[in-house]
Amino acid sequence: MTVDTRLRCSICGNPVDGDGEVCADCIADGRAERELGRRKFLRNSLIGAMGLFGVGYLGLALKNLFPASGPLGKLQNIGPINKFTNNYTLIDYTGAGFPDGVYVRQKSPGVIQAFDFHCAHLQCPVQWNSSLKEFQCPCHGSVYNANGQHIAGPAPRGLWPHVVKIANGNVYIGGQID
Amino acid sequence: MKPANWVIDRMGIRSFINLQLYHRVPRRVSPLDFLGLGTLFVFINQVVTGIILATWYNASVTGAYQSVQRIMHTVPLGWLIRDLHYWGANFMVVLVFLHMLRGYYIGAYRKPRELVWLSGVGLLLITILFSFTGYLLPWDQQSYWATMVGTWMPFYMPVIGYYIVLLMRGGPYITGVTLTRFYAIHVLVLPALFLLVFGLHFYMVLSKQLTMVEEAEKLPKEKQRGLVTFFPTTVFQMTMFLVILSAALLYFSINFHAPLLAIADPLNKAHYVPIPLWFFFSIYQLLKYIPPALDAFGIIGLPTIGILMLVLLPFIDKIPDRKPSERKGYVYSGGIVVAAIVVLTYLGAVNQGVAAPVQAASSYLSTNAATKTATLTLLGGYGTTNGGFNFNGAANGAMVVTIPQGWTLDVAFTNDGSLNHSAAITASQTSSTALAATDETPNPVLGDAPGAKSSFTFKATTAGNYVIACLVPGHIQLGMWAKLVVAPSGTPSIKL
Repeated sequence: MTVDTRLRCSICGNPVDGDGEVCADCIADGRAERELGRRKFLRNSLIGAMGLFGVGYLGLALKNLFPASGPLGKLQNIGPINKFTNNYTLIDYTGAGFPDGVYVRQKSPGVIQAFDFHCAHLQCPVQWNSSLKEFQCPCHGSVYNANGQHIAGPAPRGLWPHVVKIANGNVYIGGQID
Repeated sequence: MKPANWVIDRMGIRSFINLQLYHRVPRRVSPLDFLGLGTLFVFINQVVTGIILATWYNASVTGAYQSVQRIMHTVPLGWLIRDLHYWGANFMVVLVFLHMLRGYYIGAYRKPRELVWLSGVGLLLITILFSFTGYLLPWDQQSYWATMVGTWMPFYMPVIGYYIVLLMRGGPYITGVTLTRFYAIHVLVLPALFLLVFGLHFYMVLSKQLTMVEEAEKLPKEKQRGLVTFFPTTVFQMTMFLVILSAALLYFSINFHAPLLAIADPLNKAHYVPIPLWFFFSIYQLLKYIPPALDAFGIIGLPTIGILMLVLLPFIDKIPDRKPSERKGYVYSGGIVVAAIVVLTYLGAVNQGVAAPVQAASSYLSTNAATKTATLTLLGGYGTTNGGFNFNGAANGAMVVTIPQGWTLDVAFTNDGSLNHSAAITASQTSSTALAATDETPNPVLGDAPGAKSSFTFKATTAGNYVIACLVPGHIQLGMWAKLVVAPSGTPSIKL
């Protein structure tokens, strides 16, 4: 017994010569044009519906997982101004909802400087070197001066400053400024 | 009828199975043929140990570290499960790398096996993401700071960079939100993705045959006598390979334990210096040679080019003959890249990151009884013990040097660390000045630069307890001090 391995017309079921989807007869009597148009429409509806589902779920996930951009962190009282000298001390700032290291000093009487302790290169924790008067990053060697300005190494910018407010002799630290 | 046969009959895959089991393959095989099988075996090890770990693990800032400690110390055989998972992860990276290298060498990525190669590249990336997300879960200093650095890298991508950082971290920095996010990706997303891509990889291998099987079938009839059937000969060889591989995995797990450093400290009060995952050492080392202006290119551009090259490889290599000898350009350039990766990984490992080897305490002290002189070799910041704030790898008085009264102690100091350090003999660990100006290295407060050497001589005239300390401000408080005992009599000694 020999098996007919020819492809079949997808409309009438008769054998097709070559690798066509429909046979010559169906093309000739116009059925192919109508049927193929209908199929194309239904296929596109399917792709469209799946696409909509996909976009919907993706949007849902992104909206859910992307952190809401709120206001800068809350102000936090870190003590009387006379506690701060010309030398930086590391403060645990929690006003943004998580612990964050902030270097704070009184540069000159009444002038407070506050810098985030994450290096601007790859966010390693920088260390204040009080004898050299500079911030040093132990990871890739970025160096910042006492005003937080980038002076050496691969960092693209200076340290991120934090909001500073002085009221009733107390120092308040707020969120990080970009 | 055996249950297995019944299932095979109902599925109608008898002929397929027979074809797979009894196709003819070369008798001589190399362990390199089984690297893919080995990767699959280690992946199954990761699934089994991972599920057990997940039953004990608590993905939260307050509970993660403690639950890992509990797994290590309290849960029955928990330490072994964790070490098998840790070493399995390392084995998997190495096996995937070698597996791809072999495929590259013999040209197994070429038509009609492009999809085998491309799905393999996908599996490599998924394996790296597995390591990256799993690294954060113990929530120790190493996890926390390596993830801080790693998740900041996309920042250097144009336009979308910072949004990707925020999406990965779930906020501006690493918090408990990041931890649960990484956990969900590690145990839900990546395993599903891995199985999906592995399914394609395995299907393509079965349907397109292995390159070596194709070679064997091209042999003239008279030479085909050297061929054997896949089952049972090759299957037995595979079993032996897996026995050896699992023995190696067990050996490493039992003898070298997965580290757990101090709990993550977002303020980094102990001045821990972050270390990348070991298979990022090469790119980490490479960045050191790139001028700051090209830093962003090094962080984003180079890995992108690397992945792009791997993806495009099957479509670039159009040399008619597959043999390595006909593809010398590919073999040599691949060899150069691999050699560079190996050398850079080594340099990255020795220059920073991996704890320095512990030496015998006695190697640091030599004595001359005739002249009553002892020479102490003092390495400041040796290795990563106590965040680098140590002498000879010991901190907080863990090193005790004893010399008899009347002896002279020559101190040969080398700054082996990455920060400035000094050495001085002081009265106690609360003292910030040396006993005398002659009992310290030249710049005790500023310290010697990394790599510098200096020395001084201390005369042990009065018996008592002293301290050897680094007088760079803050370092003694961080634990960079050792004990020095001047005994009324006896011989010099040192213990670490």
